[in-house]
Amino acid sequence: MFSPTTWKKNTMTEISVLKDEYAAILSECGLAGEPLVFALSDLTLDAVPGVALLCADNEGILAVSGTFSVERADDGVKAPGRAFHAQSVVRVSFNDFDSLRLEELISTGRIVASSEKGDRVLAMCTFAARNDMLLFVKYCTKIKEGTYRGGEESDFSPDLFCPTCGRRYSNPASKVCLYCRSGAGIVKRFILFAKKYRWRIAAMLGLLLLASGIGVITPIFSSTFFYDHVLKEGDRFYGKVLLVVLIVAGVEIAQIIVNMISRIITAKTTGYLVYDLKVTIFEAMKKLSLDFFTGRQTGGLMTQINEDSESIHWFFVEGLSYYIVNVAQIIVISVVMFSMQPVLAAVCVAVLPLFFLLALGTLRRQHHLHFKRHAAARRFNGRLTDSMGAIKVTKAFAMEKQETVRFSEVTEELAASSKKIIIFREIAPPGLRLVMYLSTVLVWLVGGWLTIKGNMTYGFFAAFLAYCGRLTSPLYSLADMMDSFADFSNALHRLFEIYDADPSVKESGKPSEKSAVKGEIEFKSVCFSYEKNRRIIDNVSFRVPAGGALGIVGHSGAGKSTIANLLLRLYDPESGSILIDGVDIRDMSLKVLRDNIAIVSQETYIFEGTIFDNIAYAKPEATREEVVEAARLAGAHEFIVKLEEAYQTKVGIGGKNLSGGERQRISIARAILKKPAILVLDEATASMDTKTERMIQLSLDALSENRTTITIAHRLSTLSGVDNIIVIENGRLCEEGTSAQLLTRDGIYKRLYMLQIEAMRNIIEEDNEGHSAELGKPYEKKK
Amino acid sequence: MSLEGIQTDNANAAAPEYGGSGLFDREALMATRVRYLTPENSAFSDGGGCLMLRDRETGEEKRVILHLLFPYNTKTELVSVLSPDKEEVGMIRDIGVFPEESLAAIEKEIGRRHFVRRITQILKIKDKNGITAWRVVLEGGEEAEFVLKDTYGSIFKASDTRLLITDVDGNRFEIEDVEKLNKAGKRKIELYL
Repeated sequence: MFSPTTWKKNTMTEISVLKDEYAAILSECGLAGEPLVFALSDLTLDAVPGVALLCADNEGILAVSGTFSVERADDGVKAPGRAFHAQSVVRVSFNDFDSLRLEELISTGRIVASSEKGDRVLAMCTFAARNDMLLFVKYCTKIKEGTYRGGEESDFSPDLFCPTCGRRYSNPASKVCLYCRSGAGIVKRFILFAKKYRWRIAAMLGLLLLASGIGVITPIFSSTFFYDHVLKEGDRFYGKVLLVVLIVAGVEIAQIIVNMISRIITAKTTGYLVYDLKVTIFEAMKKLSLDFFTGRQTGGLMTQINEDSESIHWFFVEGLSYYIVNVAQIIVISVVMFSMQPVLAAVCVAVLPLFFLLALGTLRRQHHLHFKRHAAARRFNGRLTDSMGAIKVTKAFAMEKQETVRFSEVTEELAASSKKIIIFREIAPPGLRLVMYLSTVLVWLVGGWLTIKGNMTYGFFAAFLAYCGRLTSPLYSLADMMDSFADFSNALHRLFEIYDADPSVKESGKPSEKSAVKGEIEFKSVCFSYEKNRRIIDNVSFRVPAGGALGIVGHSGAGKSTIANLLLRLYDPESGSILIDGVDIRDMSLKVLRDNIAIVSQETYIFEGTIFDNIAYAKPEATREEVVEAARLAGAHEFIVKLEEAYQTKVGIGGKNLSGGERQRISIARAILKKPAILVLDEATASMDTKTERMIQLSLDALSENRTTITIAHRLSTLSGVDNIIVIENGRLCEEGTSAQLLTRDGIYKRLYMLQIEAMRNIIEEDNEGHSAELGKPYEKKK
Repeated sequence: MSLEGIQTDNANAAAPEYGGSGLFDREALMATRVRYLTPENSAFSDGGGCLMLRDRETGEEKRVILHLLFPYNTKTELVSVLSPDKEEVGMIRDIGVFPEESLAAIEKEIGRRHFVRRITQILKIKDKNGITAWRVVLEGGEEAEFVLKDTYGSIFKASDTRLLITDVDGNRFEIEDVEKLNKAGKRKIELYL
């Protein structure tokens, strides 16, 4: 038997770290040969959390599953080490199976060795160990095929692992560890964003501070100076009331003017800043991959861009200036008060720590309430978008009442969360005011006593009281504005959530400089899943020469359209690669890639604008003649000339309603105008009547000349003229050849062919029966 | 493919004549009819990490996969029985009618396919601009950490109180009753519900 002590010396591929205790278990369970690959899983065969040790040698695979238990001594004291309880030991020879795969269940997977005799399960894993299990399967397959040359650098490159926690990146392209990702302070992030407006913001803040500074001067003249000099007999200012009035009025007017200028600058800066923020977020959203949008409700995203930007705008216009003024006033007035009468000042600010402590708690609670309200608003908007989009179905099924009930649920939830915010807004600030009022009472008591004792003059005490009022006033305002600050920080948080999202499809750092492509396409062992547990494309490989025509056939949901999505890099494959002219599309710039591919699919989108705008969307610099020519080729010109405004007919939201076929023809014209090297027709004529389909088919045939064309279809009639056909079933490529070759095999293509012939025969038979009825025979409905 | 052996609840109902027509009608018919698996026509056994189905009528034994049709409501009723290629072989109305050995094998397979870890306490939820990192206590006292990329989209409300959470890797967690979480845990999670 192989000794575990020598294992470390060999060149084994350790997908997981092979600890000594695992080596000992494998050895005990009968691993005899030189181990080549080791991996660790986390479930037993009965899906009990535990461990599964998987080790392959030259002969086969040994899989040991079980659980560990802590060994305890008789006295109950924990003994060092733990005991392994094996639940299953499976040994299979490489000669005993034909293929090895990871069968993915809902949130678990099992490694299955398949042969003609059936399947044998070796081990199970949760999806936490999924990537390791996929590697294990890959290396074992290589050993079986005799191509194993040790661990490949590309699978174990340090770039694939987070340097902080050692976890494998969930998206290796993004190099972002979701566990270790920093959640940097949101206000700090915003300050960095607003850096380009620093001079405007500096002017805004400078003027605000000036205004608040001017405000501090007023009590000196209206109280101390007035009582102790102007009203004091013998003083050189005695009786100069007008002077004081003029000074006070002048100071107030200066403050008003500075405030006005400050507000104008604030409004301008905020306008620019919020506009910039909206555009930046929108751009960030556009860069995100398709999966970001498919996983979210459109209504929710709309809320984020609209309402959140408004919250930020409001805070800047109405909130920030007050915050700055208030904080500056609190500092300046505190300094003045301490310089005037330290004892009384200390009495006045004694309650400040309590005030700020309570204010912090209030802020947290308001943040929590706003977070909840936003979640409710998101659901509300999502439900509203959903209901409006489904209005035709709702009416057709007479479900208006039920829809109202569904809508009422989210409305009620939103109302309840808004109500909580309002109630808290009414309760919390008065509570904080009460705390600060305590400070005024204390100053009255102590100040009054000091004045009676003759330690200070009445004028001095009155001035101090005025300052005391000026100190509590900004604190009251701060308490009132907690709510808007909570709303602002929440809105910022959500906007940066979009801004910070990592696109799963990333632009290459050094894209290939090629701008035109010939159109040779190659898929190499491509695997892809939209969700972790559902493999949509499974190890698909094919090649289309430049200018060639490939047909992709399969049942609905077989994964045909996904191939087009992968070619366009709307998603990236999990493994394998896609090459155009021998270059991995991940190394091409997205613009070059997408400029050279046009897709015509069943899903058409008509933008708000004219028909001309919609066709020229693919090539904004196109001339009118080019657009008309493209429309003619697409069979769209025929219906466009019948419209009053012809090519300048408004379509899309609020415009003319086009039929499915008309929309489709516009999207074909769009593709024709683009003149791409690669054309993908994804069930392009599926929604059309036979005549239109035939007409468009002819146009498409003309369009596909000298272009690489991929035609995806379940109706085989649309595949005329393709050089080669691949058949996709459950994500796997199961047949390949010309139509004639495929018909000689008893496979899926032949079955589909027979089904469609038969369907056509049924229609012809029914037509014949109907024709007989018309000739005088009594018509009977076919049962 | 043959239609022999296909059973429906009511053999007389919904059985249009298909004699004379060929593959097309047969295929369409196959897709619309259900074969209910019962102790009379089927027996299940554990095949070491997988489930085996023996057809009592033909004696044929093959590997099958189970799929709960209403996984949030019931783990015993309306269970689809699929081939490894995901073609439906039949359906079980109620697994409870099967004898002990079959039932044990079925339950084991359901456990494998619908594996979920139960959360009993939420220790921490750290929101990093939309991505949340969770630290929880699982049933049995073990602590676990996971990450949700789209937090709202990753939490499914199976009922007013029962939550199903799918992490960024596709692992599933369940909170059987959110009301039974401690107060601090409830406050943490309520933001995302």
